[in-house]
Amino acid sequence: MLSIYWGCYASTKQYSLEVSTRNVLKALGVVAKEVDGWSCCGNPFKGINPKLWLYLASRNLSLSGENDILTVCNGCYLSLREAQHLVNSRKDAAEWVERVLELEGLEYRKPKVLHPIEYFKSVLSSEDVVKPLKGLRLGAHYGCHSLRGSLPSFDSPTNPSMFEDIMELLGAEVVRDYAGRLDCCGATLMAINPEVGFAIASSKLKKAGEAGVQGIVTPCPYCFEMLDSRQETLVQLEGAPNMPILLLQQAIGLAIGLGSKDLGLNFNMSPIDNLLKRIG
Amino acid sequence: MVSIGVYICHCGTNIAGVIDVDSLREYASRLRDVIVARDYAYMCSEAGQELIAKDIKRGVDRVVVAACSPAMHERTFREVLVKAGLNAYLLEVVNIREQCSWVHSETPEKATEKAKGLVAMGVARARLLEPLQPMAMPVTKSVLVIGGGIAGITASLNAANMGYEVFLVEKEGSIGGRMAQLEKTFPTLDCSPCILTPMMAEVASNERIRLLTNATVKSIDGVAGNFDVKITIKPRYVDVEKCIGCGACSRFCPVEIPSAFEEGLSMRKAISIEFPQAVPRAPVIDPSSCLHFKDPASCDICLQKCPTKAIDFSQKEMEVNAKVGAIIVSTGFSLYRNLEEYGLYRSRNVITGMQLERLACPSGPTGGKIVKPIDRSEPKTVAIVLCAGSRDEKHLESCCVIGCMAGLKHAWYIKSHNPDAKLYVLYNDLRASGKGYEEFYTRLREMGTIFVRGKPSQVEILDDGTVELSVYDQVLDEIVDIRADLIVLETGLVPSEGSEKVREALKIPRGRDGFLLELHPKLHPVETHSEGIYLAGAAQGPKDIPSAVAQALAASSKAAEIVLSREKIAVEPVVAEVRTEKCSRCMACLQTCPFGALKIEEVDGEEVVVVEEARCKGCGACVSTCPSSALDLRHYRERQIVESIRGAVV
Amino acid sequence: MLKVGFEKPEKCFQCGRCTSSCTVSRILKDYRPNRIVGFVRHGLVRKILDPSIWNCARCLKCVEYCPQKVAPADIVLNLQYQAVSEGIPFPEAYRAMVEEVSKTGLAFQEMNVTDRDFETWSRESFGLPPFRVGKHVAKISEIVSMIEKGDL
Repeated sequence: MLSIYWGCYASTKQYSLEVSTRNVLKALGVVAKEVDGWSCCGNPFKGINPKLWLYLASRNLSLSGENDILTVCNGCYLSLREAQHLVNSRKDAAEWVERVLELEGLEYRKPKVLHPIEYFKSVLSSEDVVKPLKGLRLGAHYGCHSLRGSLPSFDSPTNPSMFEDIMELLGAEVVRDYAGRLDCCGATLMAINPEVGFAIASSKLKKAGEAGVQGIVTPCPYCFEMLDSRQETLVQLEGAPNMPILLLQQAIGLAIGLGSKDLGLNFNMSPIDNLLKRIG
Repeated sequence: MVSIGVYICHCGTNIAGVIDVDSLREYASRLRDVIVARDYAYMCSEAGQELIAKDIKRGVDRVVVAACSPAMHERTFREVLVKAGLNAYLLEVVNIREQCSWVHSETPEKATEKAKGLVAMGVARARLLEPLQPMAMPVTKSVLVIGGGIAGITASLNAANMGYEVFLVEKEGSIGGRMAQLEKTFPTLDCSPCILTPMMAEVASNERIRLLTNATVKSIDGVAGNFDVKITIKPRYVDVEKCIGCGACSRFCPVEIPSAFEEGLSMRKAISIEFPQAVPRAPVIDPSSCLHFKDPASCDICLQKCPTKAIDFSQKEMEVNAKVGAIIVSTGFSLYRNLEEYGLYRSRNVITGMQLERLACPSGPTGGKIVKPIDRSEPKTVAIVLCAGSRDEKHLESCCVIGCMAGLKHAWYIKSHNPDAKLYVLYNDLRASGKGYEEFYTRLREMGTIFVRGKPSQVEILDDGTVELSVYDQVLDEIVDIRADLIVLETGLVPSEGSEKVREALKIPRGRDGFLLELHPKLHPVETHSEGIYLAGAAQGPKDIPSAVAQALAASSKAAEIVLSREKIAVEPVVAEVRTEKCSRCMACLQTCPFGALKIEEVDGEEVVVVEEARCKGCGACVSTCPSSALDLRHYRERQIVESIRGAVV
Repeated sequence: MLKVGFEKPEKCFQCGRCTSSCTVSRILKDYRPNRIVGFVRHGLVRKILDPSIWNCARCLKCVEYCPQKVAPADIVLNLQYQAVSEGIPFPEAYRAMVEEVSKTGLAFQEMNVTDRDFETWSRESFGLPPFRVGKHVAKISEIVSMIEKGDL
């Protein structure tokens, strides 16, 4: 059975992510297990205190039991998988994790950790689509942690296509290999060096615009916040173009016929009205 | 009663640095039947060999040498025995280096104990060794050369000129290989086809060379001096004797397919001669695209237009059996093309170095004009990327050897064909180590080429097909985004597609880089672990033309030395033996033998199992299969193995 | 020194791919991943434990493009860890997250969010079930403080 690992963002501020994911899964007939006791995945602590990261990531892996974990955030996806890899490949890490988890009465488990792009690619079919996402040329923003890193991921890190395939399945006109497609959104730097973060995010929007992209879809809440909630700042400060930004689950929800409230579209700050009108 | 001499080698500190050789020698000297035990710094040296020889003259009649792997010096020590008057097979080599001191260097005491056990095993076996005579087999004075590129061509001509018959098997319709696709060669900028084609013509006219094109090797049996080869020749549907190479058939053929020779840059007809200097100069029909093969009534225009009636749709696949004494493998290389991260297959303006060769070639798809594939216009900015996919753990670990020089040559092409274009050569390290190579690099700098030390990372495709490469210039401390409208990738090299089947048929191992493995990387670069089988050219590893030619000359000379020049060749007597009285005729052994060395013969009205000693490789599979213990392996008899195990335990 | 990820500075042959792909290096000209790795290789770690090591955007392009699997981004994380271990001041945002996670198990506080129609929602008012860290928080706090103190 599938269990969903919500992570901090969905739980504390990105309510549209949680609500759209729940409603899309319900509409597709997927029953997911609710797991008690989720905590942060530990990703922010990887540098300043790696043991803290390893503990937090491992405890979430063990709480899942034998269920596959569907993550809804790129950062969580990478964090859990890297922790799994560390425990699998180093005896000292495995022993430490066992000891620490024992204090909580937990046992280390090895569930499969899934990314929403690979998950939805496997469950969606063209029959689910009732309102094709026509009207604007859309571009995929995979985000950094879904594909890159030292571990192999669900698609090619330098020339992926799974996300674009999903969007085409949803009926959208997709700009595939656009310049800057795999660029970072700069979200991680917002707390450290916001100026640089803004420069990175606006470069992303500018390059996409230059390549003819009229709207962006992304699976990651950090990227979404950067490109959507902060879009006005990027436009004012750096001259980035305006364009609608949707979460992956919001795009899927629209295509399978769900409504605005079901998908938390009221929380999108980017100009989505035009897109919504064209979809109908 | 035997008199065993045990000789322990220090191998410098390789063995003595870990194992207590004094204690080992003491131990050995107390074993039953050992009359002398010695140790020495380098047993394989002349002085070491002398020690053994002297002892043999004094009565030692079984020799145990505890040293490095038998693969290194078994042959050397066997010769010592023979010179001193003892049969070569009364030698036992015990490996206390690779199998002891080198792998147990952290635990010297345990290593010494293990060495004692190994020596005890060796002594136990030595007690039961019997003298054996190598068999002398007559030698077939012909050589099989697999692969007709520059290495195969050179080897064939060399062997033929030494007086041997040659079977040159080439899988394409023409010989020539990769060199035929090149426009020029570095660093001399010779016209590649101009220096190659005279050799190709020589091959065609040489009476001792039997050229088999459109052909592949199906199977190989036997041993050095006596190989049985089965060659499959695919039909080209054209009678080569009748064909005059006029090209009428190609002109009228209605079917176009991508041309492999032109690296996909242009089309060829379903019937065509791959390139103008092809040998044999006759076309090949591709049956999977030719209309006639789908429906004979639909098209036979080539047949109609041929002035000499050379088209023959009825040709069938042929099998040729050849007996040869030696085999040279020169199957060459293919390009590594898994390079989407550099933009290959994402923009048509990103091409491989080989594709640039075709563009630069006057008989190529653009008549020698170097243009952007996307619209055939002149490029304004060209970037040559060296090391694309090489020295990269995600692609090919090793260096491709010729990429830097090919990149310099390509820079020269651009400078001479497109002098107004801005040219960047982006490199990681620039390797120009051959004769004249560094001078060529200097020449390119003098021509104004911009060399940037930095491997490009991101490659973005812009709307009009232009490509933007990001590279960090360490000198300027700037990240430079180069917008180029033609990118040339110097790709890595991998073993050619056809080489895998050949490798399996010949049972040649692969090295870590995937290329065919030589016997010894320093001292035996063209020999393999199988006697009589040699390597030449890029099949053994990426290399430039002079190196390929040198290897081809070496391989054919080696083949002549070891095999072809002899009347008889000694075959190891390590072969299976049948004890007919125990044989139940269950035939299990016949099915097990991978070399077809066992067969049934009628002897005195009875059916018996017989070993064909020339084919037997002494693998022992039949011995372990036989349920009646009717088979045994000479020099590795069951008794010898059992006693040597006892030697370790007791 | 704890080796955290896949870092292998010894393998670097200074091809420069990490720097040309680095998201931040384009903007901050003195942040060069290849130089950071170079300094680490030379053992000159002290020279780079300055505020610039916090500028990494964790985009992982350097890890992806490196032909020798050096993982420069993991080396930067390792430097961050070394800085923290030596008591060098680090960004406030991280300190806040550590505190939050030891209190609630999550890195951020639950927020009330204002939407485009200027309505403000909490999790509850938007109809989402309460998040379920619940009874585990006490144990998490305990373990987190132990780790922070260095007892584990």
